[in-house]
Amino acid sequence: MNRPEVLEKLKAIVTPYVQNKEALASFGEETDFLEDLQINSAHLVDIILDAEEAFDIEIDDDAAEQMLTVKAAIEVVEAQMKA
Amino acid sequence: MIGFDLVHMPQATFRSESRFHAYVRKVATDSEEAWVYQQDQPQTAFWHLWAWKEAAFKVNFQSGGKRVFAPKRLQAETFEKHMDQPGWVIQGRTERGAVQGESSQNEALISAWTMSSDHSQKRLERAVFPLSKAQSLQAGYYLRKEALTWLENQFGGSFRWEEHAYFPTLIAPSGESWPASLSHHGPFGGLACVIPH
Repeated sequence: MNRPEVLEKLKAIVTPYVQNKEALASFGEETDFLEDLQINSAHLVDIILDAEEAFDIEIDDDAAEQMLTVKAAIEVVEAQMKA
Repeated sequence: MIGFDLVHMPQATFRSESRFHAYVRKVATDSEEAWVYQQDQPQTAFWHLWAWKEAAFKVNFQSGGKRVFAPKRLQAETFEKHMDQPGWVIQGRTERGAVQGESSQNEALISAWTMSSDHSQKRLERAVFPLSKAQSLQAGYYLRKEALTWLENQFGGSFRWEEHAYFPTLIAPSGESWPASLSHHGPFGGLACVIPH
């Protein structure tokens, strides 16, 4: 799976939890889950759990800590898929 | 420093029992997990713990801690039932030091506020505002506005928010900043602030 495919899959995972739907139009690597998409912090846990299922990976606590932006999330997913 | 968090219980549901267990594994340390499952209503207990952790995160961040999603680094250590209402008095630690907090449950709402010990003797004010469905789409904006209205009715004068990286700073009519924390969840928003002597 290449980076644009990971990005698209991540967008699909995140979309149900987004409060600021307008911000989805500019969804990209620089997008911040909390500030730009206004995702409730409790849903960060949902995103991590959904990503584990969708990519068939395990995201440990150290990796999960970084997942506040799309770019960081992609890097975590890519690293875990290679592991 | 002060942190504050609300949980609107009708929206704080899990899609399945296994999802709840997965949540607990991601958020709670081993000792916190044991406490959650020892309670009569583990899911409700979990949200008390979550609200405390969110409040503690805000204290930690305002004290200079990193903005990372690391709920297990916020360690709740002791849980005592609240004397006057359903809820808990929770003490624990963040990377920046010890914090103490209280959670209370009022019908659909759990709120937690946490103050670092240096502010424990000062007066704490807490208010919860309803946000309409339309407003909840831009809840952060309306919450700040509602909070200013409440403060001005309560104390007089003109209050304002100064924007900072993640949390706004409350500026009182005197020009000094008051430790304050905002939170919203579902149709509710809330403010907690410390009134200096």
